[in-house]
Amino acid sequence: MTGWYLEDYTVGRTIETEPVRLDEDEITWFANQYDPQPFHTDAELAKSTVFDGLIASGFQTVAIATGQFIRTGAVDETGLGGPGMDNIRWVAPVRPGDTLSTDVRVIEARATKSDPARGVVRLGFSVSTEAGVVATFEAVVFVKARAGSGS
Amino acid sequence: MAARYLEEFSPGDTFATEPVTLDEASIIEFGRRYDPQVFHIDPEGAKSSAYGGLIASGHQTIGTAFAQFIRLGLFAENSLGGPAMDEVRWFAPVRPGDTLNTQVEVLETRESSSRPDRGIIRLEFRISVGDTLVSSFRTTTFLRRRPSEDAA
Repeated sequence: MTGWYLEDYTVGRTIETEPVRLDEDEITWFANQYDPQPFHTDAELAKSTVFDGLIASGFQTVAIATGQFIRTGAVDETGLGGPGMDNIRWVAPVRPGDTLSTDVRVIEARATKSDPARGVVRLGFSVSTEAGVVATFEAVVFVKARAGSGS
Repeated sequence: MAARYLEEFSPGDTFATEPVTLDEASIIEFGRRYDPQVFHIDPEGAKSSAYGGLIASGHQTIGTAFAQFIRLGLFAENSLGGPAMDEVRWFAPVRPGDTLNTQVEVLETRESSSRPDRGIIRLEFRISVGDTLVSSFRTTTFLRRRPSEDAA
């Protein structure tokens, strides 16, 4: 199955992703490699921190959100990678057993002047648990355009 | 390095972290979990992608850089978590065997007006492979101020 081309990313279009449950092992696996702070790596030590228990690294929350977007198939064959992310805000902790639901909305989509076969899309991500929003951010992705691709 | 309080950082302070090399296995493992695109998970399929071969997920690159900074021990128990990250940029691909060198510069420190025990510190991370800047990003972290009884 081929994903979305530039022309399919209309501003305001929303994409729902599959919710994903985060358990303690995955939180500590990630943190030991990518964010080794006690409130992310050790459930016992985390009890005496400001968070009063283990919480997920914000880097992991963001990576899960974009990963779930990838898994929708929207960029299968059409995605050309991403140059960046902006305005990442972590507004509430994510704890073991929380289920993350990510909604994605198209903020901007434009053709690349120098190369009609591709374009740039800005996506707004909102990540929630049962208790409310935990993180928001914007990600920019390069995608193939139908115009100029012969498809 | 010993942990520092907010007052012990100044704008312009720069720290070099320990270099770290990403191997193919760790790139693929990260990609399968968090960024399952062909150029992050399949060395063969990646050859016919836009990147001409396997590259690391940008999320792995920034996480690796952040971890190397934490491992310097400058924040340790004085970190109270981070509310924000800004201007994440991926300029060039990171490939298996590449060694990441990360420079971290203090952009700003500010005392909290509402919580006298803490403030915020803003850092800029610049990640290079050889002479090539591959990524940069800025973090905001809540950091403890020196307790008044330590003032002596």
